[in-house]
Amino acid sequence: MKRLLLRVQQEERASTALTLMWFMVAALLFAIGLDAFLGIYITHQQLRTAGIAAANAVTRAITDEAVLPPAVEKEAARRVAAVKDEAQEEIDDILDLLACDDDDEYCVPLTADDIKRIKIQAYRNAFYDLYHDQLDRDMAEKMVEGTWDQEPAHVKMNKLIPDDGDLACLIRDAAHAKESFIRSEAARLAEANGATLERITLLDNDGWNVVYVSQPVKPFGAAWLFPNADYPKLTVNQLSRIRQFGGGRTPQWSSSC
Amino acid sequence: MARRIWNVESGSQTLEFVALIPMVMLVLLLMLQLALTGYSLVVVETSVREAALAAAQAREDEDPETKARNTAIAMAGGIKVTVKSVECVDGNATVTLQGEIPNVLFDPGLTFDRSATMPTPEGRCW
Repeated sequence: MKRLLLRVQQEERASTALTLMWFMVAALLFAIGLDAFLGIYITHQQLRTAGIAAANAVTRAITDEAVLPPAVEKEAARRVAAVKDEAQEEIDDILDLLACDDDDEYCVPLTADDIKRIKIQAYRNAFYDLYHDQLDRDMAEKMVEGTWDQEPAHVKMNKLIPDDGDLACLIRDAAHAKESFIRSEAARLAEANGATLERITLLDNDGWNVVYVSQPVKPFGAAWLFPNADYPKLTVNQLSRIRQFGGGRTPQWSSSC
Repeated sequence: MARRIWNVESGSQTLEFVALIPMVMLVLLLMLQLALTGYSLVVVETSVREAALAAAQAREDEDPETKARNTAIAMAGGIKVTVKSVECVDGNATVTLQGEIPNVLFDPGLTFDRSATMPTPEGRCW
């Protein structure tokens, strides 16, 4: 045995073959590593596609007809009621002041247009007191006429919720109220791109939505390594943000609502 | 005679090299093929993503299919890609690309399909 080992050690034939065999073993190991790397990288790229789609779906769902317009309608109605309530005292006072006594023959009674003008101004004052912003004269006139609620949602949003900070708060509240709908939209887009939606975080202090999507990593030969199909999962997050919508409105995101 | 040939060592390294070099070359080609396959998959994935985004965000005066095709080709680098379909269902644009993996051993290369679906901004189809 000892002689055989000594002879093998001294044998010079096949040394080139041995070197080349070692090279091939090294190449094989390198190929396995490259395969694993590519498997992870390709899965990551596919998850980026799914993440972008899901994140865009979240942004779209928030501004969707089912989420934001109803919230705008509700907030507009609340604001109109508050403004009318706030302005009523001022209107009553002015009308009392300008009302003609029965025995005052020189007094000119107020016309319907005069009363309308008084109400418009009172509504605008009340709006400023309540929301520190200017109420559009046309909208105030429509409030007096009682036709303001026939305006489309985006007009109500621009004229009754003019502050971008208030708008951001409204969007955030509306999104949280309809989170399950938004989640289902994001999940639908993630699945359409072969991934699974893990979770979403809606509208943080800076207005970012974050979606997390995952997918099993299956490089070539993974089925042999994981016979029970319990492949490792890769999770990728993707951000999206509502920047500008509804004819140039830019929500001013902040932590205070 | 056979014993004498067996004991002669001159030229044995050359013989071994010649015998094994086809295998070494094959291993090298397979590694190159693996790298090309991975590269093609990554490039086509990026192309189909950007093509789907371009199609989803196409304006009314733009043809989504042309936009998707131009974007896919621009993003594909040296990889041959063909737009197989551009469709929009329920406010989501889906683009399917066929990519070709360059083949170092045979011609033509292998082909594969990859799709991406992106939401249109307004949720409406073209």
